[in-house]
Amino acid sequence: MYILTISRTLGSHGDEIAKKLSQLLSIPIIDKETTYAEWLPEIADEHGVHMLRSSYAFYHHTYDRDRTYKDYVAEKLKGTLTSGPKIFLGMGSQVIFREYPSTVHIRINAPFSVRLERLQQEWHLGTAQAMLNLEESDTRRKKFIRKVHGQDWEDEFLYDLKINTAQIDVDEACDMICTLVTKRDRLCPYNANQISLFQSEPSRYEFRHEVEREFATILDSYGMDWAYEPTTFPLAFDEEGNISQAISPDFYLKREDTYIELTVMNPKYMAEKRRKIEKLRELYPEIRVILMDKKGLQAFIERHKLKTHTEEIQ
Amino acid sequence: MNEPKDILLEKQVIEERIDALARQIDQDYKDKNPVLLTLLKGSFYFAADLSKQMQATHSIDFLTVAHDSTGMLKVRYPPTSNLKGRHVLLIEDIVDSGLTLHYIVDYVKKQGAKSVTVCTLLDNPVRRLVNLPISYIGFTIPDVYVVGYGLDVNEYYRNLSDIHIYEP
Repeated sequence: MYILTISRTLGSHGDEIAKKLSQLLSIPIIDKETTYAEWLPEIADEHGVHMLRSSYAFYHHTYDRDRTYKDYVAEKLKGTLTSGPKIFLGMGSQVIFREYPSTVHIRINAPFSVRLERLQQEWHLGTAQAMLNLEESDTRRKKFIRKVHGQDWEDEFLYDLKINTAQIDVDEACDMICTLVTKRDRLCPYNANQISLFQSEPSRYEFRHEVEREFATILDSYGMDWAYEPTTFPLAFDEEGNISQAISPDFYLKREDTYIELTVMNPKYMAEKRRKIEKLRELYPEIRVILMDKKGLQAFIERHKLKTHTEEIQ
Repeated sequence: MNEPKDILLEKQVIEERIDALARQIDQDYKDKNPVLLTLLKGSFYFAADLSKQMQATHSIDFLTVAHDSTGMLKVRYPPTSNLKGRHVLLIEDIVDSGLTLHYIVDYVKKQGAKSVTVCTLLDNPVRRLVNLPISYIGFTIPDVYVVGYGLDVNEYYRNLSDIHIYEP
């Protein structure tokens, strides 16, 4: 059994690398959302969880005699290993599992300027907002390790492998990590062919709903140049500058520079979706986005069928 | 097949609007000798009436598009006149998603037209996916299926003088 801990900076592609490693090695990721959404509510009320999110000193408070929240999280993290290896993303896991055998500690980083550019391009943020997100995120992550675990986040000896992703892409980073893991632990099922297999999967054509496939077929029939979920727009950020709410419109018409979000939800469940679209329009006024509701989508498909039927019988 | 429902636009209202459109086009196309490129079959009544009301010298041509056996939209019957260097006024019966119009505008541009402008009798902007500029709009209508005055369902009801709502 082996364990991977991944410490990363915002905009370093650390999340993407963790996600891909998880797919390549078939190991689940455990991140802070598991802690806040599942574990801490078992021992803390809503206010307590809020305090833990906002004030890291609170981790040293006791919740049951002499047991602290920090102890509880560490126990929970270790407990996940009973069901097999895990990839731990952040949470001070490089410190918690420091002495554990068969553990590889990874650090993913990139120069500030590179991360800034990525946030601007990939999240469509202005320079000031991107800079703010990066600074806040770096500060909070550093503070978390110092306040909760008494360590320096940037201490190079906490990590076995440090990767600067300025010139190394996600695939190359995964390749390096998998090579190290394979050598470190022969139990690792890593196969070099897996990366190329993964890369060749046309994931963008793996539609979530049949109606999306139908819609794509209609777009094709008109010779439209489209892409499926090519862009994710962040809508809100958490206190560490990570994305806490986002939307990836289903289709993008390239030449028309138009995003289309389809929905098959019944009208009574549409409120949340509409709110997200409104927020998207508010935050990104330069983009054109169309929300096609269930009724409109059905009408669109029906009319297309009527048209093509008429043409066939001519 | 269902019967057409209520009248959305009466014959007289349509005639009056076409007359106004013709006046506007006359002004814009004076001395330009445009070709009224009519998309068959839905637009043929509209194109005929518009052409009769226009004073500006113009020619008329036709175009048919259809989805082939693979499902792709293709030009089935191209116009007979050479569009190169011509001012083309595309005559449409209705624009909704804009996908067909997008395809045709592309086609006309590739033929070397000097300009391409769109004139549609009906505009249903609610379901618009492709935002193409439409210079002349007869009526903006709500999101309903319509028949009559050239518009059909399975080739029927084109001959109705008024435009009716139809529920498939």
